[in-house]
Amino acid sequence: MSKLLAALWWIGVSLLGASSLGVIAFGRGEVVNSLWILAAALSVYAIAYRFYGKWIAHRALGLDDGRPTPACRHDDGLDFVPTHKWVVYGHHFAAIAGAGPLVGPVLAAQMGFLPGTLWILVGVVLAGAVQDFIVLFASVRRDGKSLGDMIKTELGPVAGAVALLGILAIMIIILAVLALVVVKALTVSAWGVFTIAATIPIALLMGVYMHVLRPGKVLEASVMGFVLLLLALVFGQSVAADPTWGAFFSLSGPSLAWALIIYGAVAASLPVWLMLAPRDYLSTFMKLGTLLALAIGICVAAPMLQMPRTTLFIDGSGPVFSGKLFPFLFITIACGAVSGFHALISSGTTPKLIERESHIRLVAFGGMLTESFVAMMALIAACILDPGIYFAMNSPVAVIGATAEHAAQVISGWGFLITPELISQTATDIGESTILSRAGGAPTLAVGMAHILSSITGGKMMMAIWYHFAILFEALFILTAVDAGTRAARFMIQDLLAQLYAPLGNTRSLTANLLATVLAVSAWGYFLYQGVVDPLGGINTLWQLFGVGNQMLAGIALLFCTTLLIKMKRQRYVWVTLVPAICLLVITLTAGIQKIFSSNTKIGFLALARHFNAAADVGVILAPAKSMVDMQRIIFNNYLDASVCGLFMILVLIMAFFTIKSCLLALKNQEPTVCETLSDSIRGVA
Amino acid sequence: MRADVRDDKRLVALFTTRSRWLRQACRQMFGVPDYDRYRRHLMAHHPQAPVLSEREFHAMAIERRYGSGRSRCC
Repeated sequence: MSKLLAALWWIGVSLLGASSLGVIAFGRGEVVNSLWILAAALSVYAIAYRFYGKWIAHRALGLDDGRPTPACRHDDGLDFVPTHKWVVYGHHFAAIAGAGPLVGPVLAAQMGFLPGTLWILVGVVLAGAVQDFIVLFASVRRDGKSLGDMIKTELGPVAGAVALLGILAIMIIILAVLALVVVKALTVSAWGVFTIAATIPIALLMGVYMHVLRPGKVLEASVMGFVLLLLALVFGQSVAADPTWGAFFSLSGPSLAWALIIYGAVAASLPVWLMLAPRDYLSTFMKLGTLLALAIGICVAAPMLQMPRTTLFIDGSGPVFSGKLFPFLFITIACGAVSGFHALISSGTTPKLIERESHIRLVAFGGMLTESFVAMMALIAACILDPGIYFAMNSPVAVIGATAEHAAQVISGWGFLITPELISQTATDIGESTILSRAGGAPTLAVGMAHILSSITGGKMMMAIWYHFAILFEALFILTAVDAGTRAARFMIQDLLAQLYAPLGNTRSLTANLLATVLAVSAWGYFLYQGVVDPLGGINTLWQLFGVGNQMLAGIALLFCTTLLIKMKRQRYVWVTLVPAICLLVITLTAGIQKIFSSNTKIGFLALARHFNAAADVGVILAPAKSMVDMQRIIFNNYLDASVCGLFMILVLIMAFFTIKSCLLALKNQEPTVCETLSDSIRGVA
Repeated sequence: MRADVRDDKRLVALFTTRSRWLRQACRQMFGVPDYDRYRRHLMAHHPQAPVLSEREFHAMAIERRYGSGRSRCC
């Protein structure tokens, strides 16, 4: 009887999913309600989790609850703690969900809502969730080792070193692009800058409270911090309206970039309990709360999608980023579909908390599906806006100009009718002086969220508050990422420097620490500054570079998982990881080749460098450059971007070579050759 | 003891254990380990080992978690 009920239930879920997808993809003419996207997504996730996830757990990997996990074997109450599976799930989700799933889908919305929706659903089920699942599984079977260490033991030391270099390069690009998102959101926004600046003393206060007065009382401190933050948010409106203070906090892009660079260097040198830890608690608290509010908001408000299914920009001529749907959609939406960065987190603190192997499915597969849901909400928030507003916010100054009149004229010319009055009215509604050219995802998402949340609470009066709340929520966890990422990059740089001159690797030496911190900050700071002064907005270059890097890391992680399956003598199931790995390789290599060699100056780095070079040779200065020095800098930066992109491609090819080598070796062997901590034979003894 | 009083007491007990569990779960989700559990664990399994004070324990947990920077997701 219960079997029959279960069968009926799953048939119902499948029918719901299929019909929602049908409405999204094939409905003719009428405007689609965003609830159809939510229904399609939730049914796909449920089916994927129940059937594919379970199949991977039992058949492909053979999870075994009889095998003690590292948390049980090394339980010390501090690092290794067997934890309830739902708690680990929450912890893991809080660690993987960042700005990525919020930015990518917003940028990709320029092609319409359909391509993004389909890629997020297909990508997460076949690639993203599988990667997170198998990497976490591998780490649990290896005492919670990191991805770099695991690659070293399974694929050899050279492959390990190559992977580490790749991780460092991606980290630098990620920090630059995240900082750029913050700069884009806060440029000449006194209200935004004031609230973000207020988070610094609030975090310090929380840090002292938890360190000196009430150790470990994270909830008390977070609630206190949250209340103070709301006060700062409300007070910020008056600060921005004040002529003196408003001018003081209204900063240009380059000044904000410098402020962030200095902040990064100082924050990464302070003790962690003082600023990093409390700010991380506060941002986790805000993140979980806001995402929940957004989910409820979409369900209650059930907004209509204004963006068409597909736009004319799938041909590659889009203003937000250039390049055709294939491959550029697949690198623009990284987190939410598949993100290589998750492989680092799945092999970080999470494996040390897993109580039983069977919990890995909920934590990793389920966690990634939840992240994908966040990406879906971001896509919805961008697509419920008037497309004219969307393009006004996301197109660079060089394309739409700096005035509402000019922007409205250009955008209406694309077929998205908009009036200058509506553009100015939207800016007034959200309490800003302008909304033009605020690329980077955060502001668009904030306007979308403000629309949704103000339609259920507060009405138009609350729109400005909701907008700045959404900006605050994103900037808060981006700044945490900048601080923590700079530290992580510093340690990696010290590891590398130690190879050249051992004392530089000494993490107790102040000089060595300062040197590595300065190197880390200048590396991402350089890319950040380059992006800020780029009249094409910077995001369209930097985000694609990040996308290539991140998907390349996912490719490396999936190649590693493939090696693992073969070494475990489970090669029958190798397609589970091999197919997505090959797809990602094809995507990243195609995107990489186009980014470097395309003759279109909007896409190819080398073509743009040559274009400027040719003009410089005959003494012509091309806009946006204002002098020969500018020209030289643009040429150099394009060569630099081409080299970074080339580096990513070389790294992934080297990894593919090592994977093939280890796989062939393992196939010849009749016995499993995998290096797990507990082999099957000694399991009984342990 | 009257039945309804007993029931009330059980409800209160249930509520306190639940709320304690809930608070612990929240903290663990934020990445803060539970001090009481750590002390009980040491007493049960390593009675000779020195026990950290609550403040030392939390300072150490934060240092372990964030000391070498955390690679946070995009």
